[in-house]
Amino acid sequence: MWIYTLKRVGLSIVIVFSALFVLFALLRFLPGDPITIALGPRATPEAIARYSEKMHLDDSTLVQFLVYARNALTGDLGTAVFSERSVATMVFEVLPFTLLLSVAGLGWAMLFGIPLGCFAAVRPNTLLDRITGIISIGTIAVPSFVVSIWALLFFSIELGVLPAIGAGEPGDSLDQALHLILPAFAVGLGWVGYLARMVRASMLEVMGENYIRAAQAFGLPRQTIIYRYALRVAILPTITLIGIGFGGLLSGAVFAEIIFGRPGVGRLIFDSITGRNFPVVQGAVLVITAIYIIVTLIADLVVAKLDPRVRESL
Amino acid sequence: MPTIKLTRRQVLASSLAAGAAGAFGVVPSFGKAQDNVLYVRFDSDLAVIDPGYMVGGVDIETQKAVMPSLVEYATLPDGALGWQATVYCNSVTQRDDLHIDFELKPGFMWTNGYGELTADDVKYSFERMKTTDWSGNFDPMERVDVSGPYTGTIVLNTPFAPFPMVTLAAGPATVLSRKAMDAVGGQFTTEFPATCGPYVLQWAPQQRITFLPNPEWTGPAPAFSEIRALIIEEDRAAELAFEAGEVACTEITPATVARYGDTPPDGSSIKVAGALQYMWMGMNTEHPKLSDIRVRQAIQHAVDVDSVIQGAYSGTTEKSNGIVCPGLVGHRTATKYSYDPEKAAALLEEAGVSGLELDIKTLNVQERILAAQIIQANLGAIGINATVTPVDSGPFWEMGSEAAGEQWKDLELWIMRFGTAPDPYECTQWFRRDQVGVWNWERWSDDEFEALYLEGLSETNSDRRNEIYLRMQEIMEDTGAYLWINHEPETFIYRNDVAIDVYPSGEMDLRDFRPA
Amino acid sequence: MSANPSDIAVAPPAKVERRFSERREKLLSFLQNGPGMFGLILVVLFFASAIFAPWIAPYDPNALDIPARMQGPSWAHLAGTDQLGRDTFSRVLFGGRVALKIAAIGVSASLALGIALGIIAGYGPRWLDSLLLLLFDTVRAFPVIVLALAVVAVTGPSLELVLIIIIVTSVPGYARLVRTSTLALKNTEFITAERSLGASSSRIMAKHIMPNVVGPLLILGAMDVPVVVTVEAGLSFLGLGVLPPQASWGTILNEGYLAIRETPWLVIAGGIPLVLTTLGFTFLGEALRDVFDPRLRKGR
Repeated sequence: MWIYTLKRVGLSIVIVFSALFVLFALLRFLPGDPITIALGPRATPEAIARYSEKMHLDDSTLVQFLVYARNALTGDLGTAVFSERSVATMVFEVLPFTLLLSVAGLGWAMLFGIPLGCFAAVRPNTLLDRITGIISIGTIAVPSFVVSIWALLFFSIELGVLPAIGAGEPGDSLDQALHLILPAFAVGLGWVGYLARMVRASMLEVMGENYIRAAQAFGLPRQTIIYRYALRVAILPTITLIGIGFGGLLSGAVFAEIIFGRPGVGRLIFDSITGRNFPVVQGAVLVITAIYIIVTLIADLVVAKLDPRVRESL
Repeated sequence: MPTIKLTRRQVLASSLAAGAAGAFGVVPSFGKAQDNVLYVRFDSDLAVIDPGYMVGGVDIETQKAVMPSLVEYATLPDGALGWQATVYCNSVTQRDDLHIDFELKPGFMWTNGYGELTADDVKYSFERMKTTDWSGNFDPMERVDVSGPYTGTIVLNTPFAPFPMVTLAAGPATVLSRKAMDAVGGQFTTEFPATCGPYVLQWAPQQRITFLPNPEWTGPAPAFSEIRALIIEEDRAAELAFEAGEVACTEITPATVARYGDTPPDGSSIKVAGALQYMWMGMNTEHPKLSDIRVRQAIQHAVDVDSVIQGAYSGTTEKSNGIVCPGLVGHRTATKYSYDPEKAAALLEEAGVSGLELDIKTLNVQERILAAQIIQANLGAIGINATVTPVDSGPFWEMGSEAAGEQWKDLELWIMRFGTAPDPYECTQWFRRDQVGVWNWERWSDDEFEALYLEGLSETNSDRRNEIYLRMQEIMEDTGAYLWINHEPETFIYRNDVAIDVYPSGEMDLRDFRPA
Repeated sequence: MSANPSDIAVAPPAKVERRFSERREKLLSFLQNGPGMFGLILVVLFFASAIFAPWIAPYDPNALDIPARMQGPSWAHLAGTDQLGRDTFSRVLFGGRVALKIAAIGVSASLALGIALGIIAGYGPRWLDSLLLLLFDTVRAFPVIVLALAVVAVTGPSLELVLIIIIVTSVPGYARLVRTSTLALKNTEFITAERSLGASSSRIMAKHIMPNVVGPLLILGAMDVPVVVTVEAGLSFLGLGVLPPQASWGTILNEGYLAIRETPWLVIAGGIPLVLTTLGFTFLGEALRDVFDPRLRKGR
């Protein structure tokens, strides 16, 4: 397990570096002078000289990349164009909102989706199974940003029962929770169906295995079989899927933030694009990507812990 | 630089983050009441609050609430717009064309221990402005003479009657503390080194801007125990917030103005702050495709501006015939061209042009994109194949600027809107010869226009001024490079339990907000 | 590498010969698959409405009619009109053309590239394989929308760019599938025998590896179409893809969202085709998978 962990973490680090390189290269493709892009049109000559020196703009591209990488890894993501605030500060200020939204979305999806999949699996081809199937497909078929817009239309504008915009009053948990309902609902809805189907399919496969049938033959209670044995194994592909799908969740969160006017990294990126605040875009994308890499890493490690077969594949 | 309002981007960039509590006094829809806290809406986050380098809009609104100024807008007894001294001054008098005397009230203290507000601070602040981005507003000013700890005189270098209205009452004339500025190196971005106003500023970036009462304030007590400015960039999102009881006051879109008609929601009222903006479609006279004046005139005749106003502005804005806004001397009530597609086609034919392809650039704002699409259709009807290119604000404001590169050569057609001050001279300054490649993107000049500009600055007879500015706009129209569109007003909706104060240029003056 | 469903899924090579009746059986079973048929109908509808849009659409999608703006559905305008009086139904049909173009080009280019890279990775030297895998993992490390935002920040919005981003982010999925299959096949006796007989690598790739991966790939491709179409719609919704006045489902949703308080019909009209397309291709893909490649099933 340890060897696998080491290999896997090593791989993640390499991927982080590649991602860093992609972002670094992206900035190079910007039309215009990199200094003006980074500092904005109001930069004084002193600021330009300082920046040029700090970023080693006279040295080779490789050195520049290493400087950029070192800065990024030590938490220096540069400064925003107009306000000269630290990008890292700006990103980490709003990151909790994005994480909260993603986790809330995924959380409610797991809460509903996994049991739904389970129930459908133990009662295959019954009415419940068919209904679950329809619900699953239905929720997957609607793209998450469309869910966001329709939810806004229906619950906020037409019915007026839920707040439309913002994250709620800081310090007031109830209010923040209220503001979280619609966005989390929208972000997680597609996942309910997805998880339900995944769990159902896995469960059916596992339930067909010999050792399960043996357990049944031995007279173990059905509940025990389902929840202690079958589910444990069936959940594994789901964990992997959640890990990989977290990226999609983050994408959904970006849309939800924009549509519902919530603060968050996604909205920060979008605002910074329109505001031509490239250092912020770069820094925020980097942070999101790093989080995604970490999440997939954790998911993989969890799965590897539970399923030794996977460890061989690295 | 023109008073460019911070652009309202598409609703996708809306950014409210807080505020379910209702506005002052009203029980909001989510049952949470607060005492004496006012919730207002800012249409963007603070960018740079140093008056010399600010962007505008909310930067100005913030400065007005926490920093001293000498003069503010006021409605005169006859209903016209004028100016008066602020609470910081015992008096401000325009002694003659070249001198404005002021006398500060003693006892106003800067925060952070920087001592008392003195005339020397005024001298420092205004003279400093001459070397900043907003220096244009202080060009007519020569210097400030200090005659006592609280008294001084603003000395102009040319007779300029509108100076108090245009510069002193508007955004750039914020007074800074010399000592505090020296301590921070003469410039700042997002934090005032020292303030002196009824409120002090507390800022949570991207979320809210809070104004708390200033404990060191010696002037009239602030009306609220707290003002929370929620940052909602898009008007539509702000309207939703208003209807949900989350803000007491916000600007609204033309579509909403049309929707409300004469009956705003219960318990609220609508106030039109002023139509101090002018929008037009400009044409680059030096571009090969547009250098023939007949082509430009054809375009002028091809567009049905009424349908633009109907389609893009829900019929709620006033069609413009020039750049001088309604209510000001020199406001034009008719154009020489009219919507006449046949004439347009004939002009094109006369110019020997067919199959022309043009690009219309516009800021990435929904109403303007819609307007551009209508114009596109109109041009299509006379055989001009036009494309619409929405541009974000960063690149947009540089499109015609020679200093920003070579892109101005490719500029063809674009929709532009400037905000202005309540005096006709202000809007004409951007179309002079020396503005070619700066803000005169149409790239023309005219000797008579130059002469009239100078005459208008020092002329005091309003009939003569009227003639001057009418003629200047006629000259502009005759270049063929201008298609006048409209004067967009700033319309606000507010709860009836609050009395608001908004400038004609659309900024809120929070000092004057009070419970009604 | 991380446990990847596509790694586990593809099994050893299928038989080279199939009996005719086996094929017939599969076809029948496909036709009897209810959801699959429903999906097929939706997919055909999607293709037909997009291809024949110029003939079906009652109005020119860009024709303005200001006096008729912001109307709800009526006999004159089946889905109502937008702020400029344009017929929403016609715009939806023409938006389908954009979706079709993106889907067709996007999926086919991704498939082609994915197949090529996957075979190279599987069949080529170890270091190349590792490098390519690193490349795939790096691309996959970015959430698609976030990567798109980062790129658009640099270049500005454009449809072509959206296409490139979609292709770049889809390729790793296909490539890995092909790579796994290639690896599995590489060392079978069959291939070894062919090699010993002097068959060149490219011939082996083309004649033996390809036919065995094409099936699963086409199925994945079908399932990928809704993803691709949704990404384009999402980016156009943000104003980063198709630009006005061109109609795309994303821009209709955008305009609808901006006018959401004036009329709900635009966002409804913009969202429904996305839902139907996703439903159609998903059902179709699953039916195909169930019938033609049961190995990919996770039990039923």
